[in-house]
Amino acid sequence: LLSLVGDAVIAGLGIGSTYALIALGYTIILASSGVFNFAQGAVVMAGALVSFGLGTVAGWPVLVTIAVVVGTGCLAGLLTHALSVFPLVRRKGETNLTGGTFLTTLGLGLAMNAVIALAFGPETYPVKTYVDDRALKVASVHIRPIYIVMASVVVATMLIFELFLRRTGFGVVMRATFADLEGAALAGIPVNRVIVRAFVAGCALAALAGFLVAPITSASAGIADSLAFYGFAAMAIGGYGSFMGAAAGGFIVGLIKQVPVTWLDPSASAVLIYAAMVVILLVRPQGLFGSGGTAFGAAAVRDV
Amino acid sequence: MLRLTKQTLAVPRRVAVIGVATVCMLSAAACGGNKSDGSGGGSDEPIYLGGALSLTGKFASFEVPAFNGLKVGVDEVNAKGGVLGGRKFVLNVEDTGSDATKVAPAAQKVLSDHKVTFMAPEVVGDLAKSVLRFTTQRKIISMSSGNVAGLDDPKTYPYHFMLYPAPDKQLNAYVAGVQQLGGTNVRLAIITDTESADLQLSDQVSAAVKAAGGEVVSRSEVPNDATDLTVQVRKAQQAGANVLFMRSVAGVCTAAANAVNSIGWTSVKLLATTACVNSAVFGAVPPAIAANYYGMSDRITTRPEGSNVVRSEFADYVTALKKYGAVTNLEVSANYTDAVRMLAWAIEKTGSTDGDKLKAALETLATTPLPAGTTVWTVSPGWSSEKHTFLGDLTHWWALAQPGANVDGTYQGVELTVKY
Repeated sequence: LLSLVGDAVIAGLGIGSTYALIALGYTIILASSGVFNFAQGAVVMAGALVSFGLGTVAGWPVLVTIAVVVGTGCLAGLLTHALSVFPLVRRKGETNLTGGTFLTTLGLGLAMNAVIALAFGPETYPVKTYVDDRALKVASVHIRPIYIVMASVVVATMLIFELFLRRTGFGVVMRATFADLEGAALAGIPVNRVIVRAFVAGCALAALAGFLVAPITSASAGIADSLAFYGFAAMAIGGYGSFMGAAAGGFIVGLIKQVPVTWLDPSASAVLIYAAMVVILLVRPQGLFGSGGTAFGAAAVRDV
Repeated sequence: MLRLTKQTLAVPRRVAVIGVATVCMLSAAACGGNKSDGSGGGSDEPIYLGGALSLTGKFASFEVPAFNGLKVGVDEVNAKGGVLGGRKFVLNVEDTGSDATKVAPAAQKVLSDHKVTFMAPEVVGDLAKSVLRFTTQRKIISMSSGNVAGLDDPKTYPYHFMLYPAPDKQLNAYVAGVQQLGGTNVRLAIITDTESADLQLSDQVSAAVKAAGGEVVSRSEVPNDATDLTVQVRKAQQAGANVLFMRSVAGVCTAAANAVNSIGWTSVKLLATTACVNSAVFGAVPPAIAANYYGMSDRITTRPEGSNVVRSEFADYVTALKKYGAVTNLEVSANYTDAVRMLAWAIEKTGSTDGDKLKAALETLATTPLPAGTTVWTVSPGWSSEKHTFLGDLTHWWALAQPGANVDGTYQGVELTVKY
């Protein structure tokens, strides 16, 4: 039984790492602009489908496929901003974007899902794994190499992002914007440019998450909602606006999803994730690692 | 007050004469029309075959092969001089674009263009129902290979006939597959999703394997979007399974295969459901376990081990099919060619294109099988007035396909002998 639990823990951490990446994408956009990007799930799905098309069908090399996937994510970020945020800023001069963009990003997300569903249909497309996935056996626990890759990419991405924010000039500008959008604007920081770049980075991470998880979930037009939900749960549990929280939340959600399967029916995992979200938000509304202040992007000191 | 004179009466009389003449001509035309459409002997009027198929969009992957199969069937019949002494088949198919809202208008258009004798509704069962309400009203024969509950009920759709084996015929095939892979000591593990049809079939396979002396050592129910099945697969391994039966969608079959590969379980044979037999799923099976991976399929979809060409008995058919592009789903194409061939047989047998007469002829196939060589590959379907389900003798119909190259819609595989 212990070895089964060990396998489940490894699977939970592995899959959780992609939830962490999705949550990180949400967080970057939310922290910079106050926008909760409901279109993020569609971008994850697009990443998985591009990965299927290029990696599995066309047989492109892994690194080239990753480059195109990330490029697709960047493009999706630009489009998301242009279609769902920019019109509000231009017409109303809004700085508090949270309320208005609820509808615009939700609408865009639904439209993207529908377009992808029309193009790809209801079929599931299994995606070839990008590593030899024979598990390493450590004390009777199986560690799948794909999970090592997924977790490593997430940790590396977090470190790079942290270094970027702390060691570069634009990182300082981003941090200032994250901390106080209106204050940054008053200080002459081009906050709109920061927000655009945050959308690009957030969506690139979402597409990368799609690439990473595709061999596990397969690619289909139906995966957007569930991945968006798990990513959101990760952010809610880990803490709004906290990068550390996004990572921790992702791993926690992954563990809740996989470990109880050892004893319970797998369908119970979604219930447990909902229960964990409710309990954590009741006890600590800002999430485990979130700082105080309003959740959805109003000026507040964030954990950067 | 109007005074009636010869002049005022003259016009109505002329009208009356013209009217009577017109009615006579129309009646004559109608009588002639009935003769040519209903019994047709000696006429060279074409016989129209219609279709409302998804030639574009998400269902095109199997409806274009169906369309190509219809075209080959029509070509064959016409090359032999047609039916009823020279009447040629003409195919008229509308593209529904895989859009449910376009199915009924497409069917209406096809049915209003000409008097249609046969209709191919959508292969997708739920969409097919939109077409069948029109064909039922007009007593037009239809056939399809889509399997959805109710389509095979002659009380609801008296003129519709199924081209693919009924679920109870599939059960025996799965049991035979499990026994072939497990040998004399079957220790079966099952991974199924929670769809009611899948649960039911899994239970039936369990019961049948136990009744045949085998053991069911593990059973896991998973959602059809399950991602990592390492725990379920390890439970099966720990229980000593030698066959793992996966009854679910492509994603679950792939997840199970990945888990089997990742834990290095090379002694187990995997048997996947028909939904997992396609290039995409086979392409994702890890090479290390590909030799142990089998998908439930049929004879026409498989090639003998070591062969890189389709079975010789289908070679000429594939050549004919290639005229309409690459052969991507040989089974579906052959089903629809056989539909045309069976229609031609029924027309010749009855000497008529009347829906009721054709229906009666097709319903005799339960007691009087089709003459040998009538179809490309379909066995006589065994239709009766009570059942329009495909109930033919499927003893040598099934096969197990294996991952590998897709050659003209076929995979390498092994034949199954299934007891009924």
